[in-house]
Amino acid sequence: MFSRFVLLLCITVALAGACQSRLSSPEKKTRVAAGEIGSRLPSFSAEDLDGARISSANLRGKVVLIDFWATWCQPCKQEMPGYQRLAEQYGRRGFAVVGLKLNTMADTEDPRSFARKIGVHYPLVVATDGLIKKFGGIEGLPTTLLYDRRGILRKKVIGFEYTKTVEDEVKKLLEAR
Amino acid sequence: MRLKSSLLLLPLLLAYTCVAADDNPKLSRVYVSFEGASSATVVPGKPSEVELRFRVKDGYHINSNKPKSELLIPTTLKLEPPSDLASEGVMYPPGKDLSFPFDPSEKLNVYSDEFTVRAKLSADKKASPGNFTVHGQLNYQACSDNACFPPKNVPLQFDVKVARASTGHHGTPQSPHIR
Repeated sequence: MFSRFVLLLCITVALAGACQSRLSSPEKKTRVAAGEIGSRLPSFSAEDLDGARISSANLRGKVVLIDFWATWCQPCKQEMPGYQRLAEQYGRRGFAVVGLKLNTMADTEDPRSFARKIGVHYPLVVATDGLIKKFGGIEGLPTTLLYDRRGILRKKVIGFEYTKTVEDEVKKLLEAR
Repeated sequence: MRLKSSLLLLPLLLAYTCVAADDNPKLSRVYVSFEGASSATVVPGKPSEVELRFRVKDGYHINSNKPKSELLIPTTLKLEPPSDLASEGVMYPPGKDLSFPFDPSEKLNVYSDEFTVRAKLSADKKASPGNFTVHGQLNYQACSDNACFPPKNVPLQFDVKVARASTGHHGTPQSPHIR
C-alpha cells in the first residue's frame, strides 16, 4: 500500500514538473511565438483557388501581406479591394499579397466568384487548420500580417484597417534596406 | 478505498489542468448567452409558444435571422424536442439596421444587447402529462465594430409542461337530470 502511494506521489510530482516547464520554459519566453511581431514568415506550400502552387519560398525577399478572410466577413470584403490596389501598385517593387481563406464552415458564395466580384486577383489559398496554426492562430477576421523582406512580421492588425494606413507601412518596408 | 480512488485521480486531474492552461482563451470567447425561457404549458392538440431570451455581449453584434446580404450567416435556432413534443416553427425578432465604420454607406441587420426568439411547440395527443426538457442551440456569427469571428453556437435547454388534454366534456353543464 505504502509503495503504491509513493509511486503515485512520484507520478504526480513528475507531471507537475512537466506542466510547470511547459508553461514557463525559458526557451518559450525568448522565442517569438508564431503570429507575434518579430516572428518569421512560416514555411508553407499550398495550391491557390486557381490551382497554382504558392509557397513561402516564392515570397522570399519580398514584402509580404498575408490576409486572413472569409466570404461571410463583411469587413474583409471592404478591405480586400484595397489590398488588390496595393498589389498592383507595388507588385513590381517586390510586394506580394496572399489571401488565406478561413474554412471553418461552408462558404456563403463560391470564393472565386466572390473574389472576382470585388475585383481581387491576388492568390487566394484555403487556410487549413495546420496553416492557421503556423501563423499563430486567428482571433478575428480580417487579420492582416505584414512581413518585411527578411520575412519578419512587422505589423499585425486584427479587424478592418484602412488601405492608406497599410500602404504607409508597405512603402516604409519597401524602402527599408 | 475512497482515499485510494482520490489518489488515483490526482495525476489525471493535474494532466488535464496542464493541458487546459495552454488553451487560447481568445479563441473560446462566447459572444451570446442564453438567458432563459418563459414558462410554457402545452396541451395536446393546441400548440403553445415559448419565449427564449438571449444576450449579446457588449461591444458585439450578431447577424439577424434576415441579414441584408446572402453572404452573411443568419442567426438560427434549432430545437430538438423529445419524441412527445414537436417544434412547429421559430419566429425571429426583426433586427436593427446599423452601419459600421468599415462601410458607413451600408446598413446591416443585426441583433445586439438582448433579443427574444419565439418557438411554437406542440404535444402529441398520446403525450403523457408532465415536464419535458427541450434541448437546442442558437447558431450565430458575431462581429465587433471592425472584426468578425468564426460562427459559433450556444447550447440551450428549457422545460415544457405538458398538461392533460381536454376530454371535450369540460365546461359542458351537466344535465340536471343526471344524478
